[in-house]
Amino acid sequence: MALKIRALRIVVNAGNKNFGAEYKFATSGLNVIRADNSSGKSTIFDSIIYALGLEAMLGASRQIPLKSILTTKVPLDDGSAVNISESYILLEIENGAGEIATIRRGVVSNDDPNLVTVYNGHLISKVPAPGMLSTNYYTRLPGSAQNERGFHNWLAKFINWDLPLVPKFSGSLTNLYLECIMPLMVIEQKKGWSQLQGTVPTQYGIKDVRKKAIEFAMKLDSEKISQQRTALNVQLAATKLGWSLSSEKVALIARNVGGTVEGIPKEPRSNFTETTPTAFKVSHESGWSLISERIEEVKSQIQQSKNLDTKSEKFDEATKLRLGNAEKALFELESMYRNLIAQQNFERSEKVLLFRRKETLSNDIRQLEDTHRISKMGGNTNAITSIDNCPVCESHIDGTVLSQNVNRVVMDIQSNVQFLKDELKTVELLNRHHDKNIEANEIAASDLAQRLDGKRLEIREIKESLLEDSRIPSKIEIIRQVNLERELLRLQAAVSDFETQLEALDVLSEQFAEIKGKIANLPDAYSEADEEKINYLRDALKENLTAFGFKSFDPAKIDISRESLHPIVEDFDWYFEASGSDNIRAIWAYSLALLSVASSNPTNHPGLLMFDEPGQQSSKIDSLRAFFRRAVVMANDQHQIIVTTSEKVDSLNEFLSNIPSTKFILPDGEKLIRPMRN
Amino acid sequence: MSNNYLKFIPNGITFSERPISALATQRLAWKATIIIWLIGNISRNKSSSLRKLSLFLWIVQNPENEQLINEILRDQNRLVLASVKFDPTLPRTLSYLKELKLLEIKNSRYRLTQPGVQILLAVNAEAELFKFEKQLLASLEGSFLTDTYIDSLYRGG
Repeated sequence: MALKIRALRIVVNAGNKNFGAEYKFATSGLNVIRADNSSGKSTIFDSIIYALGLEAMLGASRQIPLKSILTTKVPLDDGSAVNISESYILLEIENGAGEIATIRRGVVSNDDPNLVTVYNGHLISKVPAPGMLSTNYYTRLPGSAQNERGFHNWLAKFINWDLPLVPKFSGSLTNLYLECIMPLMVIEQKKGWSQLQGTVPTQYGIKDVRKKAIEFAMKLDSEKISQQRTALNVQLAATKLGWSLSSEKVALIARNVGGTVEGIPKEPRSNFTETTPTAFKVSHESGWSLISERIEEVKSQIQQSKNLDTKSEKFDEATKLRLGNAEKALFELESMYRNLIAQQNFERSEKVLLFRRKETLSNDIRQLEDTHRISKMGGNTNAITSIDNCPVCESHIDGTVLSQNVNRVVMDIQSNVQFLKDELKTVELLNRHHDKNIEANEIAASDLAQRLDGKRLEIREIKESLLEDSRIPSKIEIIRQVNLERELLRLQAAVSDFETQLEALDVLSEQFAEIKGKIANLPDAYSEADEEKINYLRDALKENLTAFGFKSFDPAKIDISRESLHPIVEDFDWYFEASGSDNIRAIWAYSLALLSVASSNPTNHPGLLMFDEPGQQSSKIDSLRAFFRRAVVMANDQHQIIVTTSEKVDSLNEFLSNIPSTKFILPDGEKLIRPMRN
Repeated sequence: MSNNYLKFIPNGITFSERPISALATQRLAWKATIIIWLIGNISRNKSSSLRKLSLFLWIVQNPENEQLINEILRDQNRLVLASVKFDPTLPRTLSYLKELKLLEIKNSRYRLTQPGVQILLAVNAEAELFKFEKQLLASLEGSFLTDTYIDSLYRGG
């Protein structure tokens, strides 16, 4: 688990000349780049950040966060300046397994600035091997931390980091981004010294992002606990799915008897049966009733029917009227049924049309997204994607193959994708609307079909009974009884099925409560191993602070907060209380203490620390000397520390005398970015 | 009848033109790239006749066409062949590509030049690009959509 910077090369082509800088770093121990202010130190530092795709640490802006000497003009000694035609950065890195890769990222380039090319070997420190493989990745685009072609996905694998999933404020999960972790190891000048982890980007909406980064860097078990929480959340989602399936079964049971169930919540609820009343209602000729009431009603109708001394009908006025009414009712029911079927056919045909539209839209969106990819590919495809004028007749073209005579403006690709996605959403909304209508129609059709059957039977029986012997019991009444008994059986079976499903929902409700309870009871505390590491961090921090001459508080009183994993004094975050220069010392001390935890414990620390101008706030010379000397001890032949500074050449020589380090000392007035041999 | 009612609208009426939607199949970037990719993949020597190119372009432009081409292959159905449309923007796109020196015409066949081949290689290397089209072409591989067969289909014999 390591990331080491082996070499950096900055190349700037301006006015037919090459400018740039090249550094080969020692991969263990202290590396110091000394130059005056405004001589390009931060450019060197920011170039490393930019090559690693970590510029979100420098701000949320999408602009390239590099100085004008890499982006627009190179100033010349005579006071004039030349425009840059091309500039790029090469960064050679090494991981814990000794694998080497070189990253190339354009600054002023025809290629997309989000394109990063990774060469499978060294390009700077030694002559590149022939036939070296390279792969293009993209950075700073959605998915660049997870997708196969995402640069940070590659970089995390290269460092051998298995990035944890962490919760966002929105409730969803995301990978902990590299930009959130690296501010612990890379302290840049503008914001890095403002506070601990001063450059952690907050725009990703990750909860407790600074603490999550420290937990990851120290490989604390608390990170596992949060993963357990994630696993429980997955179980919770499964329970919700089970709930929705059972709810659908309940709806089906109800539909089969022309009914509906009210009161089942869409999401599981603890103690569901105790707290939530449900109502199973069925429709019949005279309206809607609770199924229990309908069962009682049917039972009583059966009893009444049995008690009646019914004989066959006589062909009298009452029977004629009854027959007429029944036939009229049948006609109305048939008419309603026909309308309903027509309506249902319409709904289904609309769904077919919507399905086709959805397919077409999805295809159009996919092709437009491909077009977007093509336009971002850079390289040779620029020949196609960046032509403004027709190569045949030189007239202006708008990037389409449509007739060019029409005076119109074409949407840009991303707006066009959004435009189609909006249409797709509308199509899906309409589809759901038709689904609801179809479901409602099915219930109504099932009810109407039953009533139609009943009415037809009634008419037939009236007609038949007119022909029967009036001394024997009426056949119509017998059949009515049979039908009532059938209905009773159907209703009772539905109640039984419904109760089974209610039991299933009850079980899910209990599971839901149990998982919720487990989530609530998950320990927030740290494991014993965590406590050991945190105490190690605390002790190393105290030791460093004492060595650096920290005065705002007695270092002996300092502890590490279990809430934030930041230093505290008597339960208070000291930041607003300490002096400016002591805050700088605290950042040195904490960064070096984290590295020393990594020296004797399993952690995810990459063994790299980078400080841009640590001598901020006019830190005392003694403190700075102590910082440099301690850095050498902490690096301890296994870690790499890179420091840029503008300390005087003499004092720096004094600090570093007799201590092993790699030095790039530039005399006063010289620039780091300078003409190079072509 | 006069148009005096317009005086009731104090600031007059303004019509603002909104940008129009253009599908990928209508965009030069997509069309030119897919043509290069098709020429490079539908025949061994990175060249294609207009007829073959036109047929394959039609297949990949709309997923529904996949079913139709399968019907043609299964039943040698020339009636279905009648529904194959010639894309009227194809000749213009080919002219652009020729002017850009990404392809050349030799013996009535469109052949990729070296810069064209570079684009083809870049497209083939991008796993996410033309995912559907790559699968579609793989599913047709080994079919008898050869030049001779396509010519015979069009000739009707």
